[in-house]
Amino acid sequence: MIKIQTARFGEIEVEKNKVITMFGGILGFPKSEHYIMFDHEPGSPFKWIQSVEEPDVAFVVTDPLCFFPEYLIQVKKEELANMDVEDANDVTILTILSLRGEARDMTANLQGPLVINSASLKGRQLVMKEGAYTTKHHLFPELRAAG
Amino acid sequence: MLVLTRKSGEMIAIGDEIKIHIQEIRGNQVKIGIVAPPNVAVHREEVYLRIQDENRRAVRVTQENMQDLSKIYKNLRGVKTGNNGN
Repeated sequence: MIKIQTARFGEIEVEKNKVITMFGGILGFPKSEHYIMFDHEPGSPFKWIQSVEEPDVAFVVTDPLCFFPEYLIQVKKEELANMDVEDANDVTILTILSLRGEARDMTANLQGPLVINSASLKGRQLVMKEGAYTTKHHLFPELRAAG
Repeated sequence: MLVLTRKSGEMIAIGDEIKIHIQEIRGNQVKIGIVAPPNVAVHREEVYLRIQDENRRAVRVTQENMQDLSKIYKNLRGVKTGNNGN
């Protein structure tokens, strides 16, 4: 077991083998290469990934298919390098959520998905080239339309 | 910035582990091959910066935001279930 100091959740104890390694860290946070992941609350589609190295650094993530059922990306083999992927079903895609104002305006970064091998707990953040996806997709477009 | 001129097929070495290979030049487009260790991010810069910015914004999401978000999600999902005729 290891103990992690976190700004939002206090001290957390977690098994060493649950720690996720993000190669290159998450863009903009090179000091944090290791994260732990847990549900925001039971049954929630939202999870937190908390940095092991930096107590302040944590992100809310979700399965993009939960809000964007047609989300489809092409991942090149090189992008999975060093993740020890043996079974394609082990590859988990997560999207980081962010906010400009109220929770109803929450957006998902579909252009920078996190790709993690759930078997090896190794992953990286991908940078997709210009195309169908941007860094800001609204989770609740119907709430915006309603004004 | 160090500026080098290379021809198609030539390489640039950065440190011991990074190599840049000029693969093909066509008009004003150049195809570049890159060898780098897994801990070094290699990306098209303009998108990289945009994602970095968005990550920096994302790290500011608070638990309060998440409480609000959960409420919104539960309400919406409840409405959707009802509309499915359950």
